[in-house]
Amino acid sequence: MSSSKQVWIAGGEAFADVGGEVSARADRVRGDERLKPLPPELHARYLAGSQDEGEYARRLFELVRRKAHVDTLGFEPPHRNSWLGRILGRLRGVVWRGLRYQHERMAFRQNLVNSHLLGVIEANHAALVKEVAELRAKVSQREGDAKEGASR
Amino acid sequence: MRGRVDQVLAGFADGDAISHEALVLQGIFRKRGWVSRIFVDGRHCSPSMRDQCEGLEAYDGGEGDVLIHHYSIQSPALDRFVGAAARKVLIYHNITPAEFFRGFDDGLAEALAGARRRLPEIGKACDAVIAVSEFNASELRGLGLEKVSVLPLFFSPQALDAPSDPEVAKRLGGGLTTLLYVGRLAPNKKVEDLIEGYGYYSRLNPYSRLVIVGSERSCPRYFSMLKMLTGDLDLPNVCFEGFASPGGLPTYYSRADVFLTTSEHEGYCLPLLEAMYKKVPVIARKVGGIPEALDGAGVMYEGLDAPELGGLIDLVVSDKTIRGRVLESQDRRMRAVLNRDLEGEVMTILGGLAPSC
Repeated sequence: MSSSKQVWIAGGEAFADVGGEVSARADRVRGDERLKPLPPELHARYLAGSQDEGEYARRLFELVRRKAHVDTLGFEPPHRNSWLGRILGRLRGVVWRGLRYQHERMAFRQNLVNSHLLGVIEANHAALVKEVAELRAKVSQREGDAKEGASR
Repeated sequence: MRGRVDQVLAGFADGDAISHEALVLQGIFRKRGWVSRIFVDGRHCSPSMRDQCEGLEAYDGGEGDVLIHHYSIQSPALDRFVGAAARKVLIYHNITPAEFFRGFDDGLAEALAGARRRLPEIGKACDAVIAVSEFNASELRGLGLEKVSVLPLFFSPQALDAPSDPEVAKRLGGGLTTLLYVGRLAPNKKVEDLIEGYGYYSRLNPYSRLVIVGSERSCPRYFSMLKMLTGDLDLPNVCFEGFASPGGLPTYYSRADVFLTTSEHEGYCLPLLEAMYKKVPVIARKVGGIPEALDGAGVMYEGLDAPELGGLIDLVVSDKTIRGRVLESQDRRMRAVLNRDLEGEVMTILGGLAPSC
């Protein structure tokens, strides 16, 4: 841990006492594959960098396109850290593998639904963008005509 | 004719700290025999509170009266306040920097930026300026307002003594370690840091859950980001509970093992006091008015990354000695908070402005 990290417990600086313990616990899980940071352009936090609502919408579309599918890979049944917990965890694992065929079928169907919905949303969005652009063009043209009429 | 001290607010809602403060002040003023009414922009008044306030257009105070405005955003209430003939008192609850909201809610970002721009001019036109924390007061002094008094945000425990909500209690059963966040789901609260920290904690303790209590309508685009993040991190045990019912709030606290906030901008943070009152150990990022709200209690941190936050949570949950020290410090803090002489504090600051009778 670097010196910029601080912890206070009950009002007193406690970093020297607990910093090592906090760090040791963090190191046990730091490399966890499931929590590995995604590339910035795939991360939900990508949305937080938007400068306005229009950019937010564009970024949201990009993310949703890439995240609209589900899979059943990488699921690890949790277990408590005791002999009974380990046995029950293994039992859950066996049941999970036994049901996998069914899970994958559900995921396949769900992914179809997701891609249909995404297609509809994108088509609607594109139609709206086009409509707004046409309306803007019409408004500017009318404003131009009105100014021309007034100057005559 | 009796003296009159009124208040104008941008919004009025259940569970809102500013609305609660306005009601406590009204009680104090009425106890002294003064007329005291609350005026609110009708579009931002929750239906359950309508019988306790009036529309802004109904305000008709005159020169001899006192008008208080609780300032945190640009609103029609602010314009009503500025245009009033009464002597003016500004209570500054902090204005969240607009940058937090850009992209999530551009309209709100503009309203916040506008409120901050107008703050020096409005503060200087007031007869008294009050900040709800020393942190807020130092911000005002930095803007050139010299005579700023500090009146820490009021805390009343009555709402937390309400009977438990059986529905919530049932949902939170199951023997999982429960981490709790209560507050607005707004970008300055950095709930994403909390979710990531919990992600690592959940690998240390899979039999746990993070319960997030707060309206998802505060900033819907930000809420979408949080939901997406829980999916990215594969965290089904992050529970978004929405706005808490009156019975729900005490139940969430009584079922919590730790209360957490990773907020990056806080004027004071009342939920910390609520958690301490319910004897829940608190972990908070050291920022803004949080050190004042905790005043030597709970656990604060700065500079920790997500795995280290997970490690700190695990330590506070599992180490009985640390937990005991934290709870003892919080009890001490609560005794001080509950023994405050609110009426005395208010009258010390506003005594000189007492309305003419």
